[in-house]
Amino acid sequence: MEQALAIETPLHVFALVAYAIAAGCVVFGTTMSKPGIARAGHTLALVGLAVHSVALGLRWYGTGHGPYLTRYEVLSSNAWVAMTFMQALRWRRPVSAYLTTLIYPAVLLLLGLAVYTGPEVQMLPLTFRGVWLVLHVCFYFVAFAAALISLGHGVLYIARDTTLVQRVANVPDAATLDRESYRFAGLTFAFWGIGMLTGAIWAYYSWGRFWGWDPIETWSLVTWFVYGIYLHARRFYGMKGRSAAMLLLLGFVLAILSLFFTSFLTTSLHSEYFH
Amino acid sequence: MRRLLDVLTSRGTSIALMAFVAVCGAIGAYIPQSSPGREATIAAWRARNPLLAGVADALGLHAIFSSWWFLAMLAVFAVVLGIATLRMLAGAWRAWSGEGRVARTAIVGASADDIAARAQAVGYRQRRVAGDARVFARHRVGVWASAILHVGMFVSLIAAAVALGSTRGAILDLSEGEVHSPGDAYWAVEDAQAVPEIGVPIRFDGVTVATWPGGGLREVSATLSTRDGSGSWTPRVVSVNHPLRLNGHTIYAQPGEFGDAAFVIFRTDEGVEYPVRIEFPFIEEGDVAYTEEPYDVGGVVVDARWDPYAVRAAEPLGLRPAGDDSSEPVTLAEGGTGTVAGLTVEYIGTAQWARFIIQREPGMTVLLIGFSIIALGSLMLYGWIPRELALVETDEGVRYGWHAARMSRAYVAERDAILGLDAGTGEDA
Repeated sequence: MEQALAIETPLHVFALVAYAIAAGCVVFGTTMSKPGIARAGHTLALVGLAVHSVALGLRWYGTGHGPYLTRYEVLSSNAWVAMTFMQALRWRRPVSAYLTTLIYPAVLLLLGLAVYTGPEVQMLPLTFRGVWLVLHVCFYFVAFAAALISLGHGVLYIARDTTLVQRVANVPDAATLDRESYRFAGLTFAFWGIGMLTGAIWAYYSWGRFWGWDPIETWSLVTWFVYGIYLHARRFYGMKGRSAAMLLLLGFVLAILSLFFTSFLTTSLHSEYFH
Repeated sequence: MRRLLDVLTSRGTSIALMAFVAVCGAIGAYIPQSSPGREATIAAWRARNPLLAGVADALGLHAIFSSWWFLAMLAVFAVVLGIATLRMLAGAWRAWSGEGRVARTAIVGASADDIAARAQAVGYRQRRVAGDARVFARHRVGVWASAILHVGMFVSLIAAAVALGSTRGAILDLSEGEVHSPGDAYWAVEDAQAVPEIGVPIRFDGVTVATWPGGGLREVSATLSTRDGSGSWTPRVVSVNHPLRLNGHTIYAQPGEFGDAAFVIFRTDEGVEYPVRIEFPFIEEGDVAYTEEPYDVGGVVVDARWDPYAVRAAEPLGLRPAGDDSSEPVTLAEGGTGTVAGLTVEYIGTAQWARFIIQREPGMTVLLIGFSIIALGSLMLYGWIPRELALVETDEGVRYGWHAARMSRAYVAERDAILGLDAGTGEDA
């Protein structure tokens, strides 16, 4: 077990370096019309993802619990899910490669922060057990990845007239960017909601109550409602374009707040999480 | 009245209510909420935010989620949601049982059979033949998605209200071998008028603990036995995260709420006896435990220490007057006696103790069903987008009508591929 932990940290660093070079290659290659460099960047991102997967697997084996407790584990897992999500999207729809110019740097930032916080191991507290917790965490990881993809489209929509975005190869028209941000916001809403409900069931088994207005729970509910407002406003009031993208940005900021920042700002039942 | 109903059930009202709950949630998450044990947190926040503290007091923002106006708004939200859900169900039924789209747009020279074959190749199924029109659909069940999601939200909201309003809770403190019989008092109850009664005798048989190699609790499970009508005892295990269901009640074990208890008898010079069970939190090998609160023994307040592992293992129980840090505690072995603050004390024996939460929770099953319905509706909403295609063969070619219930622009490419049109040239019905 200790050997696994000794290996996973250098592997994380290796994945970080691979992501850094991949992000650089993709941004440079797509904005400077150098498709060969961009392709090399994508290949390197896949190599980084493979190494990252092994690192997380070793971490799991070494700590005896899933990588969802400390800052290191949470940020690394979020980076891994976002990168996997992006690669799945690129495989299914190669045309969506334009999005990697935003998602690769975002993944790099997440993994960089993870490595910066350090790989200190923390044993899983008693209440942080059970299938409902695992479902809770997994759904939030996927929801965050979907939110990131959705935001990526929103940001490209807002900045579509800037010189930098216009240089990115194959960026679709404004209507497509707007539509894609809507689709992935819907996915975020669905998975965020299910993550919240599975969390409520976990809380019920752990503490005997399904909802306690704990700050992290409450921010999570606020985030879900903002995404709900976004979806209602789009579907029934025809909101789209810049105003929709700005509302999406607000939702994403709230998502970041509830997932990563609330545990810094206040005491919470989730206080063992993200420390 | 009709106008009021229309306003209440409008989508604008729904969005406004969602925004209201979101804003209240943001306020309640920022301003610390009052609950037992959070007084210091609130005081620290008030010291940091003297201006906001006045506003928070005036508006009751330290208890925003139990304020009458927030609960009233939640009730309005439930009503609006209920009516909107009924309307959605009716709309979904109409979409489900309707005749299908009208084929209006013509494609000259096309073949309905070719289009039908392409539609079926990507998963469309022929739904019906209505007159001269053939209607195909994909993910048709998705027309119920939004209604199902909202049914789940409504059911959950109502079940949550029922569960919160009718849950009866108590705390049961037992030591090893002790039996709690129906009618016995609990250690504490949430509401003196609503005591949960399990209806069978329960005996606490002990706690099993596993720790991580580096320290920290890995597993905690308590054994509780229940006695049936014939007088025989049946052991049942309750552990953290795996509560025990018993006669409509749920029994929870809590991390940190168990350990060793020392049974002692304090005696005054006049011969008055005070039997006390001194509870210590669980400690791992090498650690020392102290009582969380001093014990009041006939007006004398006593602190206790539990040190069963180190040099004091032979006399693990230490007692001294509360607040007296200058004197050495009196240490005792089982069966030993000593004097503390003028009282004679006899250490009778040791046993495990544990504290359980007992709850009767009507509505919880319905709430969990509501959660499942929300999850199903959420997945259907974005996994099963219903699309429908109606085709009518004419002398000049084919007339079609195509429609996707949600996010139709995302399926334009699929539509135009089926119809054999250039991308983006088809029309929605």
